[in-house]
Amino acid sequence: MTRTVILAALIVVWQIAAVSLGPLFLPQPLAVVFATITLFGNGTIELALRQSMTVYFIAFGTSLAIGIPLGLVMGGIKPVGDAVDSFINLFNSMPRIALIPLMVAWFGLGVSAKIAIVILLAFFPIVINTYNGVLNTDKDLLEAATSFGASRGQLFTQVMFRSALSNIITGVRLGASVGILGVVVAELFTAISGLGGLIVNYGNLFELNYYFVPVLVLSVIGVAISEGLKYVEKRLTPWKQFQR
Amino acid sequence: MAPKVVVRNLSKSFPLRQGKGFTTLNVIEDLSMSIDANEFVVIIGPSGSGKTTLLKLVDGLIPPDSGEILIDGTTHPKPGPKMGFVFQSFRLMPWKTVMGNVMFPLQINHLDKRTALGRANKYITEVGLTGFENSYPSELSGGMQQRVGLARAMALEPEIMLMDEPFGSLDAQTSELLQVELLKLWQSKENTVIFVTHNLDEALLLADRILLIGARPSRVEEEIKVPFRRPRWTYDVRSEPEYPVLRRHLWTRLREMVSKSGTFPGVNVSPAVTAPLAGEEWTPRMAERS
Repeated sequence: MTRTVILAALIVVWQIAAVSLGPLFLPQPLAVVFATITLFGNGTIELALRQSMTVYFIAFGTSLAIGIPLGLVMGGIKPVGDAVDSFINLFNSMPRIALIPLMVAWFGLGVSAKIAIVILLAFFPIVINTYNGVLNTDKDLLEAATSFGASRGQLFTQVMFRSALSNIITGVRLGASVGILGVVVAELFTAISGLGGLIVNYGNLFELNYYFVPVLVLSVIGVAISEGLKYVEKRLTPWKQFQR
Repeated sequence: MAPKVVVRNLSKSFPLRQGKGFTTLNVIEDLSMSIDANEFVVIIGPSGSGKTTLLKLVDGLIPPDSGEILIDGTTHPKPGPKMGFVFQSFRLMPWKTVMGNVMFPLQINHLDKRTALGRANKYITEVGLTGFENSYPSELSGGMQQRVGLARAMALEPEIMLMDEPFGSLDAQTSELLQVELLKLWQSKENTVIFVTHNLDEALLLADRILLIGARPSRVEEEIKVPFRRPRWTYDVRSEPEYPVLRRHLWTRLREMVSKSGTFPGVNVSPAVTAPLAGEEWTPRMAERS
């Protein structure tokens, strides 16, 4: 209810601002609705969406497939963790967007460069959260499991991994949202394509009514992915719902 | 009959951070004891004596510096299904249900699924948690959580139960209730129990024999046979004529130990560095506190 009111108020403010500023600065809400119908109708959004999502899912999938196992190994085998830890932190703390020109130099302007850029952004939060999750395993629980005769392998799979699970999911969520950002940035910096490409094109042409369409589509995707992962988290960590 | 657990001249110290280097904190020194099969032994001692450390040594969770521990005549105990540990802080897996937690040690020890399920159900029933099999620990009260802890340790059907102040963090009413239930369970199982506490009434209610452990560095200072007839839940042990005598004696001895030993024996540092907080047990981790 409150949400609906706020939304309505926002649209009213938008309408007033759009009328007073003119379409070159801010399109009217209705113009955006018509632009949405046009762009969906002629297949522009579908094509762009397909390009963007291909990059996104390949890159995000790769980040998961490497990031989670690496984080687990780092946490489970101390020498590996100690050795790799500082490098991961170094990469994580540097502004990785600064490495985009390097990715372009290595991979060109095509799809592979875009994938590399998204991985660059999405990979680190996944590794780091997985690693920290394993490291933060309750020592008392490990001791309890040891007292029942658990082997090192059992400690890892039954205690460390399980207790790291919610951290891992946090990392996955961070990686997922920063990955969307990565897709747009990649599409701006390399060969123009996808939803990010539409944004640049319409922005440069001052066709702001069209420009808002990919922006809104990206927001919806962002929300959908984060809600989807929240659902996964609820399913995988059912005990959290009852935590007092 | 050969004793179940024999401890000979056991010593254990922990490194204690001091300035830039380390000194050692002698927690247990030259401790010997012998426990018979099916005996219920309560170890009592001042806070900071190595009671928990002693249990961990017997379980084989940590190695001694010197001396030996024999379980059924075999040295170098290893953690496993022969011994069941019950912890003061419960230590249940928050991501497992009651059933999952009780099943955990059984799965770790590769019992086949049918046997394991049967055992888990049996012990969940015995500790009175029927109907809570699918609850998570966070949904249970402290008393119920420790019932899970009991069922988990007992489901292994261990020959020796190691209990580290299991009721210490529960309210008085709940802990009295669980003491009686423990007595009943133990009576029907006939296994050996080593039970650590600093609650005198608990010790007198439960024990066949009380071992009084001195302040750090600890050794057994005195052993007291508890004469009350079993089963003890059928009458009020506290109204027995020997009860106040024994209790007063234990209390006096404990007070002597604490005052005689100074606050922090076993290490030459100012008390402030290692002082456990009120009511807190000494742990190796605490040695790192400064």
